[in-house]
Amino acid sequence: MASDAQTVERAAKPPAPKAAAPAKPVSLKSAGGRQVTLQDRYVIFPDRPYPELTTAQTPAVVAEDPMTPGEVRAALICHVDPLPRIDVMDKVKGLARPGLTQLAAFGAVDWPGTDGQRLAVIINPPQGGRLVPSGAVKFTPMGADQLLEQVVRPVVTGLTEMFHRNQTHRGIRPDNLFFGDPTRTRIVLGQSVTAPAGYYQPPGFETIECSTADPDGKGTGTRAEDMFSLGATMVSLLMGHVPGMGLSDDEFFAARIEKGSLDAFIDPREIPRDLIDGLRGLMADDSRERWTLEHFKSWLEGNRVTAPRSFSVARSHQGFDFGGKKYWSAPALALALTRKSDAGIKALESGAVLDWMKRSLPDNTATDALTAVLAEYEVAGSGASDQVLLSKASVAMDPSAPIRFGGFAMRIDGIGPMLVSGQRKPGGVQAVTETLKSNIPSFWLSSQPKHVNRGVGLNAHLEKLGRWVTDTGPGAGIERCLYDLNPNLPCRSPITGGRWVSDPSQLLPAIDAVASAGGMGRQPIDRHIAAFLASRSHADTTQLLGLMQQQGVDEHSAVGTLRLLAELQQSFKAKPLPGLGNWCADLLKPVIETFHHRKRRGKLLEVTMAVARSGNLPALLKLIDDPQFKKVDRRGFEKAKEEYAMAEAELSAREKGTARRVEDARRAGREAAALISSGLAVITVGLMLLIRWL
Amino acid sequence: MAVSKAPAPPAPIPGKPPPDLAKGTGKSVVWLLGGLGGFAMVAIGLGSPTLLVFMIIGFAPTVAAGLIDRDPERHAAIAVGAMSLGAMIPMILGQLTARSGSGYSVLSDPFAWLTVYGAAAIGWAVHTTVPVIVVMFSDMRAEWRRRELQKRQEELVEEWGDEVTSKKTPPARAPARATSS
Repeated sequence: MASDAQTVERAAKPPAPKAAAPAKPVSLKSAGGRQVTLQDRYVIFPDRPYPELTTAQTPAVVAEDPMTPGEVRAALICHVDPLPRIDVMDKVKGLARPGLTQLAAFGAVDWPGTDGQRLAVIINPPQGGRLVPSGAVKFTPMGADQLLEQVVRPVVTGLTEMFHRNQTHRGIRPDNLFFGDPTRTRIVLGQSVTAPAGYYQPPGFETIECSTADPDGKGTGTRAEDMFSLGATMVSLLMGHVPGMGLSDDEFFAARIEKGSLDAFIDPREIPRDLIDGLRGLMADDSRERWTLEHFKSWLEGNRVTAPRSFSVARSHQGFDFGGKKYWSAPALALALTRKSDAGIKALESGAVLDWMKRSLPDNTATDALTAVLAEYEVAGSGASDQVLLSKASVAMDPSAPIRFGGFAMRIDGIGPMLVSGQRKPGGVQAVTETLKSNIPSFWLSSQPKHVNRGVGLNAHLEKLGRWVTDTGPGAGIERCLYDLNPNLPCRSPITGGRWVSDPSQLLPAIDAVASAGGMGRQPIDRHIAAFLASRSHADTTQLLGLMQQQGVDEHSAVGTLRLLAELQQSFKAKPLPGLGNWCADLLKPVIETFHHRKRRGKLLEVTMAVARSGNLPALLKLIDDPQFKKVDRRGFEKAKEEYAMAEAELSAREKGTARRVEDARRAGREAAALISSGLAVITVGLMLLIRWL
Repeated sequence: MAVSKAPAPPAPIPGKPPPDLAKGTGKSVVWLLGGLGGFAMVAIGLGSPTLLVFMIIGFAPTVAAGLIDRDPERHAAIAVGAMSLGAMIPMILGQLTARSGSGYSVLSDPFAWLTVYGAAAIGWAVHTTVPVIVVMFSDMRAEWRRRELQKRQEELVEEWGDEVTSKKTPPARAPARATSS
């Protein structure tokens, strides 16, 4: 599990006893080597790393904005996995406000050393370095006053701007805070857009609900998650270490469940009196009681705001022994059961878990839910999946927890990014597929308390996803879910040649470029493109079916391909596509061959090639798919065949009737001879009589 | 009340060719000419045995042609007979109109025999030559038509391709799929 990996990573790193050293200034003087230009403006230097901003998944390099010569910019180079938050980038692009790292621009660039494009995010890098070293688990504690003045107020300003734009930050933690100026007096929030929301957040900086989700599966979350992260960051900076240091993720989770997050982080008696209310407000585990930004700002201004009291948890009076450990709450046990799935399934099937819950838990809600899940499992009999049982049992025992399936854990709004990362993780896609097939998200949704915002139409959407995932047709399948759940995910088809195609309007130019380079195969559309188009342009799935025949391209699929591409070109007013046009012309040659009239066919081929070179696909379609032309050709061909057959029949009849014809001619000749002789006789007699009598 | 129907015409017997009306006509002509010749011979013979002998001997080629001709219509006899008759009539008229004291006898006139047999030879020549010419013309016409048809076929292949020669109609193409928006 990713969370385990993070634990190991944190434990392996030596603690940094002090605050991060000031960042070594990066200058443009030595900038050289290869250059990549973004949007005809920003110059990116791929060979000049920017270590201060580089993360494990996202390299950072030096960049320059010619409009502000001499000022260093950083380019964060994103790939598809982890999936960048392009929707957030759109909203905060160009936003220059105190407390925030300015995102100047972003866009796809051809990246050297790769076979395709990457998303480059240009930021104005903070000049004073990080507040604490990246990944550090221990650092110099801060005083309350310094914390409030130097950190909290700027972060609140930055968050205000984010919230004003209806965006969440989801990356508030000590090592993502930077000094915005070289004199290290002004704190700014680092960026959090190059990976899914909360991707880099250690569990301690996430709410209990998100803390056990995989990094990709934490979901967009709400402002409440940011408020909790702010509180956790404050506590961390006060303590001088990350929350839960020395505990495993699961132990820390159990402690948070049983004591409440704040009490699990720190002994409340160690919290300065001035901060206790603020931290209780921010770190309330019940999101309904957690302070909003307005509450917190009011408290910062010295107003009295009621802080929530201690966290109440359904702790049993009797522990449950599982895997050599004792568990005191249903959520902690649910997590443990899914961690050791084989033993967990046995414990559930044996009824031991249910018995313990009935016997020991004061609240019957989870017990009743688990009873229903087990009853359903028994009714289903041998056809039921153990993993589905485990997953549903986990939801029943801890409805606020992420959906857990096959070793993966995801929030309901994190299924999309989870599916993206699942492409490279063994069993990742299958886990999400099975989750959707088994309608576990719907079950999760129906298990939520009434106060949880379930989203308008979410159930209907989940039903659609469940339907698509079992549909093997084009424009459906897990690929459809992938694009539907990730509206900004670029098309993953190899046919796009690795280009960053996140909009159908970009698809044709990308394919055109590949076609121009001769990189197109015979099959123009694969499952990814079909699903991408179905999701983003509502393309006709029946049409797509014809385009995905693996056994060659027949007349229908060729014309269908052209029709779809022409429609796309027309819809998105794409520029001329000569590469694609030529490719289509090649594809259409067999179609042209079906025209019978040779001269017209030759002419059609000639005109087709000319139109194809012009890159006008609608014109090409009109030329090829002209029903009147086809009709005339067909009728003419039928008439010609008939005429040929008649000639053939006459020739054959003549061949067979030669003897008869000769005989007839001979008889006619004899008759003619008789008549001629008779005529000659009459003429002779007449002449002689005339001579004699005259 | 039952309605009696007129008897249907007899159905043609399969394999048997329909009766040749031209054959009947030819026979009629033979009988007509034979009848006329016979009547003339009798009429003239009653008045002049010389002419009767002349005509009997003069029609000998006709009789011979009629005997050797396998044609039921006896076209050879008609051709030879018509020419012989045409040659004999002036001779007979010459005999009939010769003065009684002149001693002219057509039987002893070599010119008469030459004329009569020459005419018979011409009649035979016409009978043998004309059918050959007619057959030759028929062959020429048939060849012209054959070439015309073959040329048209070549033009069709040139215009429409080899598919046009197939007897089987290629399967009709399914209509293009409708585009749905």
